[in-house]
Amino acid sequence: MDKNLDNFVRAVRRQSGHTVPAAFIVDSPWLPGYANIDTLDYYLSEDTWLKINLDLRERFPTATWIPGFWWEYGMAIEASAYGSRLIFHHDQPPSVEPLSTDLQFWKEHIKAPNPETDGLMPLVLRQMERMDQRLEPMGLGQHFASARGMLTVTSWFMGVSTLMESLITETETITLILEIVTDSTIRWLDAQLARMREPLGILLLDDLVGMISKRQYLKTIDPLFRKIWDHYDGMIKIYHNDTPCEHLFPVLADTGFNVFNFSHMTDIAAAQKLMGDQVLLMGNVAPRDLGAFGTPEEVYQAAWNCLEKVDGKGMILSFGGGVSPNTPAENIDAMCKAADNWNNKTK
Amino acid sequence: MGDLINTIKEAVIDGDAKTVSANVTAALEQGTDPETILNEAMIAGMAEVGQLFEDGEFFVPEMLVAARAMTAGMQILKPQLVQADVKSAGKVIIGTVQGDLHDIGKNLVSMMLEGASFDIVDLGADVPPEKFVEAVKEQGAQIVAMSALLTTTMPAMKNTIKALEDAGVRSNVKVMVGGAPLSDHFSNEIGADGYASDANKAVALAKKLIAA
Repeated sequence: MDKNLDNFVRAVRRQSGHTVPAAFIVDSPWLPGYANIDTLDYYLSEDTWLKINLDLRERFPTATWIPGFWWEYGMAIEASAYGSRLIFHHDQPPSVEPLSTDLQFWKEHIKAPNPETDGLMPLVLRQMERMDQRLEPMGLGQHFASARGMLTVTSWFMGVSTLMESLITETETITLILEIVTDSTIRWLDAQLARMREPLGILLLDDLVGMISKRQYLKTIDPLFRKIWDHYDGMIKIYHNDTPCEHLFPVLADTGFNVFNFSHMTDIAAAQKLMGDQVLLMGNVAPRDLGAFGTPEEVYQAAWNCLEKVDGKGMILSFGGGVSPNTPAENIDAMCKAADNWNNKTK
Repeated sequence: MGDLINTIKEAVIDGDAKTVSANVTAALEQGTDPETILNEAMIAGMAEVGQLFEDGEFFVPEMLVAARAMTAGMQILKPQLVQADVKSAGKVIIGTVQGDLHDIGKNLVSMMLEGASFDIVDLGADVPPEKFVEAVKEQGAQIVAMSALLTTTMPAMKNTIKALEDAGVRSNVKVMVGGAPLSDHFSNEIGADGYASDANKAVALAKKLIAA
């Protein structure tokens, strides 16, 4: 395990001797553009994919990449396994069209996908296996499995309006569907973890959870959410949701994930107050307005403000979301520099 | 009559489409002025829905079912409003910009605007600039509303404004923009007339732009 990831793990496990990590969720909306290549080439050429990901480590020697080496196709992997139509682009990850927006259709036809055979899943699993053969001699590996959460996945195959309305008008039906999606998500994550020599944890991404009321969350989503986190007991569990959803912070705090990558629109000190110290906060410099379009000085100052607000405790320095397309390298440098300076100051 | 109006308004807020439809029909049969049903039941109900959203009481699912209930009532009410020559608040052409298939924000804004008595021309998602231009030429709308959820598709908003300029129709319409990654700063930068951060604020902005 490389030293940055080791420090990240020690920070999450609250072990002594760790410093504040600068960690970034880096994925295919940003990477191909950063490397100035066609998104399709990024997916199709293993050599190119590997080179870009290795170069990233060399270019930013103190950064931690989450989930690390990641075959990421936007929302397409899970949605494709449920039969959604994919539309590929040269300058962004594939987009997805729902197969049907009729809830009754899904009630009758939903089928739990098999990660070994359905949609893009087997392709991604094979890509993971093939890459592992090349990473192992370098002393590197894939350590985190990734998946979209049950609301996001369901929204892509049935349409977000159908899903959201059904939560109120067809609770029983949508709950049955969400249960199938939750179990399938666990199988998808398990299939990825089974390909890893040294699995450390999971990254779950579900912004839609932030768009429902606390009451709705507790009634429908909380048991499913806990089912996923409980399944990975003892592993590192990272949850990404960058919608402004302070109303859920107190109830999310004890569901079972360890790290929360949250919106830049919530003050980090306020977030810590709402969630207590059981969750490590990963954030929360504005990813687009500052990360992509701010100056390095502005990014540095915003990062420093985050560190000062919580005295560098219970946090991982990052953007309040993934790395946005068009984020220049210098702004990631600025964030890493803020973490380095903070760690040197508090040594 | 007051009871029926109040029942319709509460049913809109509760997202109970069946009750809305039944009571709009009953109110019309009793001879209630369609404009009164529109203003005091439907628009008033949706205004309260917007306020509940602002207050953090309502979230996206509650907004959507309320808007659906309002739409159900409007289907019955609309022919009567046309017959009575009741004027709409204005006409809005709305769409998610080219390359972006996300429609939840666009749908919410569309429904809230309809609930505030605007006529809506919904172009759907992934709308190319020329389709916006064509709609402006054909529809005689006062406002073009554009939505984007992806940072990668935000430039399509600027392209659409440029297309409206190139076609010589930019001055015919006000342009409002919205979507999670947007900001006032971005709206000014691309030459839009206004930005709204949520569906309720979009209604206020549309009214302001019409009045300007």
